[in-house]
Amino acid sequence: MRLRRLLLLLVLGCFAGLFEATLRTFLPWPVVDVRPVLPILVCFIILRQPESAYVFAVSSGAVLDLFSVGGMTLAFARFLIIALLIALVAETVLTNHSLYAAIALTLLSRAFDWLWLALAHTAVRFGGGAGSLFPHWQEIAWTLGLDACIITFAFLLNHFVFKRFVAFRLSRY
Amino acid sequence: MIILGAIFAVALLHVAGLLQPVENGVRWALMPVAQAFAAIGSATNKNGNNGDTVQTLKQKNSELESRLSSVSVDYVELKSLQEENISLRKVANFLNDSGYDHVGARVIARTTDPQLASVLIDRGTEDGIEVGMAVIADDGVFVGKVTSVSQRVATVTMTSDQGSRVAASLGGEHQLLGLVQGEGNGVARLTLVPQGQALKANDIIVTAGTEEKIPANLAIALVNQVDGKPTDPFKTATLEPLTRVDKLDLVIVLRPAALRPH
Repeated sequence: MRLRRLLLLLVLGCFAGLFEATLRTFLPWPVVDVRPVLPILVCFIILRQPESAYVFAVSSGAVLDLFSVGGMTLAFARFLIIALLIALVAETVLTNHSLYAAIALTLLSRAFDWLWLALAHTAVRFGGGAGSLFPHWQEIAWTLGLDACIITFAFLLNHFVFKRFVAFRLSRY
Repeated sequence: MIILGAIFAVALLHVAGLLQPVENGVRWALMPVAQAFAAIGSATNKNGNNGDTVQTLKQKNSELESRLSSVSVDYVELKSLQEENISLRKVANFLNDSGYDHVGARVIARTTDPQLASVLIDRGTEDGIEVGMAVIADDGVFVGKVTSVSQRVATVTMTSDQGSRVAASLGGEHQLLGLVQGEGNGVARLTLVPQGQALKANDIIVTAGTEEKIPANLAIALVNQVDGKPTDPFKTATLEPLTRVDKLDLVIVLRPAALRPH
């Protein structure tokens, strides 16, 4: 990976992490549930750039850790492990890299994310801390819907503007 | 295994505090962007309608009207007392005489979990902030206390957070009344109030001043409803906060003057 690309990914990760940690938390419902990190991460995997996804996951997660309320929550590790799992699923199960696969991978990544957070909250509550074990169903539904919209928008943007999927198909056949 | 090892190593280094210089450096570099994001988010939130429906607004209006009628009798007297208080504070220079200094801070992040009510502010140990210090809104209402702090940022736990506990007394009285416990969802409850203690709706609950870094007589909330049977040893009361945490953009940390950095 070139240095310029690496820097670009780090900056993108920082902005996405800062958005999730700061700006998003001020926004009213339902915009408060816009979480762009995981859909962007899936985009990189769908575009067959897993290394970019890993760099983006670590940088956005690290910034989220540094600016989230209550201190470090190992978001960098969470996003990195999710990126690895999604890359594995994209390589072995959902291999066609279609729009449907992109949406399915995004929803799967969100499920992994919530599973991790539920385990973390269980541990915190076990230690006497407070907090919701799982989000409200409205928040779940809305977040999943927004995730699907973001990945669809990114996929179509990539397809119609940058012609990446057309190029990929032409080179393949 | 290598990745898991790396994650474990980073977590260990963080706990040991060896990553502090790096973390502070990144926070310093990104703080202007975080503050800009917070300002944008805050402005957007103020311009939005926050999802209040007509039904909700009507209900709020009727509640406010009933409250207005109940407090209107006291208004004139309170107004004159307030004016007197303002002039006295100016003369006495309250903050200096009480041994407290104040540090303005911007809220740069909030928790979105309804059970929790915590915010991240852009002040830390280098501004003399310490764990346990009182945090007030710009109108002087006590909103919470500092629960964790690093060099450049600090976490403030609000009174409605499920983990929050603040010693409280009744406005105008100088004895410990009970404990304000956070209940989540923006609600707090006054607990451990002796059964013999007179307490009624619309009483003002203030800080008791028994905690080391929290001065007395900072308004916390209004009593909404008093609960408990006469046979219970203690009674409780649901409290209505005097300021909305989700509207807080700027807060003031009360710092003992002795800790003022030079």
